[in-house]
Amino acid sequence: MTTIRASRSAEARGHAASFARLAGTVAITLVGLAALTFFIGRVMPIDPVIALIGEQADQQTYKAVYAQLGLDKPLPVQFLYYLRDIATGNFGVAISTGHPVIEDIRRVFPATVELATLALIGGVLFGVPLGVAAAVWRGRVVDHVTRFLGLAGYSVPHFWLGLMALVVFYAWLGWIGGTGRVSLANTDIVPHVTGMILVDSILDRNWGVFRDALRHIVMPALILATTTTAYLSRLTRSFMLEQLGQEYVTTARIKGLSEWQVTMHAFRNIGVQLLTVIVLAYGGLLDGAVLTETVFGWPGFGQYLTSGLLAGDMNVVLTCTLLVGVIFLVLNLASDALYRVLDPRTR
Amino acid sequence: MRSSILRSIACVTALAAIPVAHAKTPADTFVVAANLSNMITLDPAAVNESFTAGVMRNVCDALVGVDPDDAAKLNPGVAESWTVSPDAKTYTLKIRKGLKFASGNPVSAEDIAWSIKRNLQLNLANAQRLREWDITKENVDAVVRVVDPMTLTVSPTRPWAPGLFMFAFTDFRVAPVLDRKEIMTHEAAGDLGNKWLATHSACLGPFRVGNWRPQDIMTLDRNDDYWRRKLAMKRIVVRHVPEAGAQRLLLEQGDIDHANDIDPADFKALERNPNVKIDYTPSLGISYMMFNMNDPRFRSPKLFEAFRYLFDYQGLEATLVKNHSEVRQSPVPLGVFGALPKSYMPYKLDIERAKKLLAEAGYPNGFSAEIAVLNQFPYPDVAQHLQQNAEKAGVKLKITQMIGAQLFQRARSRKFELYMAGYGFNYPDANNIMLRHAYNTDNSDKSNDTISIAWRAGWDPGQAFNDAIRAAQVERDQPKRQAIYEDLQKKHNANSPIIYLFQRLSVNAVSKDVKVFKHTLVGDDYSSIEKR
Repeated sequence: MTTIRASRSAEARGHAASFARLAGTVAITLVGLAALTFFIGRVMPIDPVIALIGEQADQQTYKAVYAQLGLDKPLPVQFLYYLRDIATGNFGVAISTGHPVIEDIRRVFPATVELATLALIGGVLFGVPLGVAAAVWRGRVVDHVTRFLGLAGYSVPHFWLGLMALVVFYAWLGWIGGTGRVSLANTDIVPHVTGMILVDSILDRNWGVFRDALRHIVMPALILATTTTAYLSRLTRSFMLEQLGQEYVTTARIKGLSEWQVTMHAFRNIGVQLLTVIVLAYGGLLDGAVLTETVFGWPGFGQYLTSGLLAGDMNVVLTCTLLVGVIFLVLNLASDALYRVLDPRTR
Repeated sequence: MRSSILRSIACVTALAAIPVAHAKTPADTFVVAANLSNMITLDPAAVNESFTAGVMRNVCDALVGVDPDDAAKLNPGVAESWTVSPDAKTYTLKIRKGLKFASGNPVSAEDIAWSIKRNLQLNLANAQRLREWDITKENVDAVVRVVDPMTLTVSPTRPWAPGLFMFAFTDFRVAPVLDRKEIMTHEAAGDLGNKWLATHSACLGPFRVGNWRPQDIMTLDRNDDYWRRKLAMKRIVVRHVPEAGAQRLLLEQGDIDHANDIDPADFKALERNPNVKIDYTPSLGISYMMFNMNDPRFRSPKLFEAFRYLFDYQGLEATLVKNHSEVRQSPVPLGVFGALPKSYMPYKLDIERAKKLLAEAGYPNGFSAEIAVLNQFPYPDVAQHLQQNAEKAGVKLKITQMIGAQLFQRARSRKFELYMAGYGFNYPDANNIMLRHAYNTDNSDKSNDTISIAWRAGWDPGQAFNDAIRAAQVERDQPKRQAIYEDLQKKHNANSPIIYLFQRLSVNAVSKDVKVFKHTLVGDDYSSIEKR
C-alpha cells in the first residue's frame, strides 16, 4: 500500500516537474521573443512620435509626447516597464488606432482565424490528394501537373492574383463580393459572438448575411490556399514516395493487395509527419496574410501588425509577436498531443 | 456521413456561385472607399493626417468658414459676425444663437474658449497651430476672453493683418466648437477627454461620428438640426480599402460613390467609363526637393540653381504626373493669397546650363550624393527622372525610398543629403507657407523650430528675409502684403536650397449618380452632396 502511494506521489511529482519545465520553457521563450522584438524594434529608424503627432507638430509637442511615450528612458528600463505591464495584463494602447491593443486584437484576430481556417481546409482538400496522386503516379501527367501547380502556388504573387480575381470574379462575373468581410447593407447586422461572421451568422440563423460573408471570404481564402496547397502537395508527395519505397510496401504488393490498399496503407503511415506540416501551415496562415488582406480590404491581423510596424508602434508589434509565439507554442503542443493519439509508439 | 458532407459542400458552393446584381448605394447614403491606416484619432487637438482632417471638417465646424468658391473670402460660421478694433488688437466674435450640440447642451462662447485652451493644455499635434499666432498656454487666458455667453474676444499679442488673422478661426483644429460639458463627463486622469474624443465626436457640424472601427469602417450620421442647410445625405460611410486598384473596381461596380485613392495610371480608363465622373481641382499640397546646407558640400546657390535646370517640368506634367500635379516653381500654391501668377515659370530643363552652373559652384566633375525620397507616387518616379538628368550633368544620385515616419524623422534631425517629398499647407494665405519655408531665426542644431523647412534644409535666409515675413504679418494694406510675398518668393528661388516642383491636384472620382459634391482648397464638403 505504502509502496503504491509512494509511487503515485513520485509520479505526481514527475508530472509537476515536467509541467514546471514546460511552463519555464514557455516563459523563457516568450520573454526572449519579446526582448528580441523590442530591441530590434527600437533600433528601427522609424519614429513613433512622428507617427502620432505628424510631420507638422513643433518641437515643444515632440518633446512632450516623446516623454509621455517613455522614450526618454534607457532601453533596458523601457523593456522592464513593458514586462511589468504585460505581467499585469496591460499590453498598452496602440498608436495606430488609439485603442487598447488587446481590444484591437480581439477585433482583428477572429477575421484572420476565419480566413486562415478556410484557407487551411482548402489547402488540405486540394494539396494532400494531389501530393498522394503525384507520388503514386510518379513521373506521369498528374505528377507534372502537381509540380507545376506547386511552383505556381509558390511563385505567383498573392497581390497580383488577388487583383486579377477581383477583376474577373467580382467585376466581370459578379460571382463574389467586393472588398471587406460583408457588403455595406450587411455590416454590423449579426450580433458579435465569436467575431467570425460566418459562425456568427449561423448562430443568428441569418442566412442572407452568411451567404454574403461567404461570397466575400471565398476568394481571399482560395488565394491563401494556393500556397498551402503547393506546400502540402510537395511535402505529401515526398512523404509518400519515402513510404512507397519501403519494404513493407513491396511485401504488401507481393501479397497481392490492390494498389489502392497499398496506397492507403502507406498514407496511414505519413499521418504524423503530415499533421506536423499542416499544423505549421496553419500557424503560418494565422500570422496574417498582409498582401491578401490589403487587396481584399480584410480587417485582419496581418494588416494590423503591418500598420503597427510602419508606425513604429511597439505596443502593437510586441503584442502581436507574442501572440504569434503563443500560437506556435499552442499548435506545437497540440500536435504533440495528437501524435500520441495517432502513433501508439509515442505513448 | 460522407454523402452528407458532400451535400453540404455542394450546397455551400452553389450558394456562393449564384451571381447577384450589383446593388447601387442607397440614395441617402454616400459611400467612400479610402485607406484608413493613418486614421489614428478623431480628437481635433490631435488630428494630424490630411484624410482624417478632411473627414472631421464635416463633423466639426470652425468658428468661421472659407468660401468654397473663393478661398480668400470668409463666410460666417458658428460665429455669425465679427468686428475688428481699429488698432487690430481686438477681435469680437458673436456666436450664432440657438445652436445646440447633439447632447442638447447649448453652444456658448465658453465652449469655444475652453476648446482653444484645451488644445494648448493637451499640447498635441495641433497646439503649434495656435502658437503660430503667438497664442500660448501662458498667455491664452489674456488673449481669449468670454465677454458674455454669446460673445468672445480675441486680443492677439501683435496687430496681425485682419485679412490674415481671421484664417486662424477657419481651422477646426485651431478653434473647434467642442461640447465642454459632455466631454468632461468622459475625462479620465486629467486628459480633458482626449482618450474618449479619439473615437467619438462632440462637435457642432453637419455630421456626427456614428461608428468607427479603426482600419475597418467609419460612419457619419446627419445632424438633422444643422443650421447652415438641409442635408441630402443621411449617412456617410467610409470603408477601409487600402488598395487603390480595389477602390477603382468598387467604384466602377457602383458599390461605392467615391474612391479617395485612385492610382494616377487609372485616370484615363476611369475618364472613359460612363459610370464614373472624375474631376481635378487644385489643392494646397506641393512637391519639393531640398539640399541639406549643414553638409559643407551643399552651400552654393549656384548648385541649387543648377538643379533647378535638371527637371523637365513640362514633360513631367504632360506624362508622369498628368492629372496628379501641375508645375509650380514657387512656394505659394495657386489660389492662395500671395501666390505668383500661373505664368511664373523661370526654369526649364537645360542640362548644359546646369553643367555650367555646377562648374561655377565648384563641381566641374560633378559629385555623388544620396537623395531620400518619400515612398509614395510620384516622388520615386520624379527622383528617377532627376537621377537620369543629373547623371548627364555628371552628378551621381543614389535614391533611397522611405516611409513617412522614417523620412520625416531624417528631416527633423537634419540627417539627409538631398530630400524629396510633399508638403501640405494649413490655410490659404502665403504667411503659412513663408513661415514654414523661408523663416528661420536660429539655424543652430539646438533650435526649437524643427518644423521649419528652411531650418531642416539648414538655410539661414538672413535678417532681411525674416523681418519681411514679420512685417507682412502686420501689413494691413492687402496689395502691399501681396507685393511682399511675391518679392520674397523670387528671392527665395534665387538663394534657397529648396526647389519647388509641383502643386498637387485633388482628384475626385465619383459615381455618375453623384450630382453635387463640392471640394474646396481645404477639403471635401460632404454637406454639399446630392445624389440622383
